[in-house]
Amino acid sequence: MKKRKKKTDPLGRGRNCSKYTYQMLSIAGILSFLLVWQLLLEFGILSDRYISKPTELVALFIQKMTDSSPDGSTLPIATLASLQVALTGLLLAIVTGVPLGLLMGWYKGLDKFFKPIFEIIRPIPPISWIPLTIVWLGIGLKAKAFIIFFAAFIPCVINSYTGIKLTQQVLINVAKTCGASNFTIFWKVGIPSAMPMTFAGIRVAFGNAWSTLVAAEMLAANAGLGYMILMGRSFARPDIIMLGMVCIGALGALFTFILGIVEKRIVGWRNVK
Amino acid sequence: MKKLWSVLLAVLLTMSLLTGCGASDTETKGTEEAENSSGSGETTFGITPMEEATTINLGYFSGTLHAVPFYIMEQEGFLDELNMEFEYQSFVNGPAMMEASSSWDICSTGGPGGISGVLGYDVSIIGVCDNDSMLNLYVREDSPIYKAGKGHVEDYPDIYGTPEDWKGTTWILPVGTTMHKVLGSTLEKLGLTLDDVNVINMDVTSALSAFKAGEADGLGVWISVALSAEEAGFKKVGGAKINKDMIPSVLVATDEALETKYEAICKLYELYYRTVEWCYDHPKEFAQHFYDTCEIEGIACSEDVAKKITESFESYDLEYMLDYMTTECDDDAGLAKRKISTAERDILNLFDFFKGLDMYTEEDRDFIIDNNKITNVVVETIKSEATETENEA
Repeated sequence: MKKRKKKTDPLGRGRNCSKYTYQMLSIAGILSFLLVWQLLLEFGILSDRYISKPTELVALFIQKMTDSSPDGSTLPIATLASLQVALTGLLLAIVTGVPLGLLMGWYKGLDKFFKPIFEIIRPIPPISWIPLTIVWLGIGLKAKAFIIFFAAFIPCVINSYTGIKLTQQVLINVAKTCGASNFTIFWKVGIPSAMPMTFAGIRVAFGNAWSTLVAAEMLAANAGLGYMILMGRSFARPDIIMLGMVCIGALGALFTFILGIVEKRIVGWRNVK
Repeated sequence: MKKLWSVLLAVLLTMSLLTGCGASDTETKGTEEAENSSGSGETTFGITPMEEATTINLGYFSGTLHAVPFYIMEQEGFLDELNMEFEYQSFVNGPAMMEASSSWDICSTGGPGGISGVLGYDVSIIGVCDNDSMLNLYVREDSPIYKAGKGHVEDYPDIYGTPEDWKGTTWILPVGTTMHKVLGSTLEKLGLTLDDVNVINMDVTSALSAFKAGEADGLGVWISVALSAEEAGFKKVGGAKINKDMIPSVLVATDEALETKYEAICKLYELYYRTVEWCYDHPKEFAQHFYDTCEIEGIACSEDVAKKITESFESYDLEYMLDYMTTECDDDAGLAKRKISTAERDILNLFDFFKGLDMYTEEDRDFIIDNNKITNVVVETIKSEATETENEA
């Protein structure tokens, strides 16, 4: 009878730990962080006037599920409003940025045509688009999604571009030997090969989109997590600010997790760690 | 002999006239003001200087009228006379100013900023700077509100439109500020509430750009942006002045400064209101100083706009402030367990508007009253010092 080999880290770190142990370690890390945070406030090392206790945030979270004060909307409404803005901008960025990056990386002509424009746009901070966005697109969803789009578009392009550029020459040669056309090689070799990098880019794009949310809602809003933070600031409510921050963080982590699952499904063949 | 006397008199008269003309403008001004002021005449306003040179960290609210007296007292040398100097920290909004309260000793800010400050940070309101009257609501010329004309609201003849015209409209303005209060107050006069309209939060400059781009039905802006809105052809349909609203801007000091720099804060307080009096006596110079501050701080303003803005300044002299901060009255909302000062009443009335929108709670209100966060301690000191001086005299 064959002995089943235990999965271990290739570098030999934590050789005897199971998956369950690692999960427990992650949970313990979060709990320790919350405990230290709570204790620092309980013992008065940090002033509870400027920072809320985790237990208070939990209570506020429950309260905000139905209570609209002080920002005028309940937490679910604020979350939905923010998700609508962030996901619209992100999806637009993925739909346009990924193909553009792949095409630029594969076709030299397109690369030469688009790269100078892209290089000029790339360093412009997304927030600096706000004044022009108001004039061009007004203050509705379109305008806010546009700000998010610029934050998410850049990593989508860069990673797809780099990913396809790193396609192994040997694979391309094999395809050529089999008589594949340039487009077939691009479609069947280049794109799959670029997928791990592209997904890494989408993850970064999601992070950027989510972190630009407050700035986008500064443009104009009457609901949203960013708006909630701004109102918390106006009314000197650190608990509201922190709840907004925690929600943005937690939703960000949740979406990264979901994205990880999608990535595994699509590019599982690449043995993604 | 007669001829000789007349020549001598003529020479004397000419000399005296020449001496009079030769006196510098500043001397004349100084003398006038020394006479105007109640003090001894050692300094322009008779305030005794600090024994040791003192630096005050000033929270300067860029582009506002209530901050300009600070700039003027420095430029005109009144501050220097008191052996004090400023270390400027500039801000463009109240909440940011309050968050950075550890970096300044005293500041002037709008009422909502002061309220959030006393609730969230270790600061106290020590005075009221002015009644913020340049808070206006604008619509486009083709708006039904404007087209309906004014005079539909009893006691407030300058409000435009009927309740039906206002209902369901979208307004862009900075939420949680005095502008929000002015819209609420206008709607109240029309028999409506904020729930009857859609309010979108935007800072005033972005709001004007968005309105110009065709967004929303109405715009709420203040000071120089309000004048820009008028220049752009938008029509004023309501505002703080039209509503006869009292929108106090406040003087705020950190609790630490009240402890460690108390004497300097008291002198500065007195000087602030004396400088306000000076502003009323010197409108041209006041407008010029306001224009200069806008230039320095990069706020869009022209000399003409500066003149118009300074003309709208509704502030108080020291004597009024001493009474305003100490005269007791009943709480309009009937919630305070003690008598409150008239200044407290007006600030709490503003607070109650935001409380009505669930932005603050009753506990917050009690906190302000119970902890004397709108304090007359500085005023009391100035009053008692004045009484002592009078007695000595």
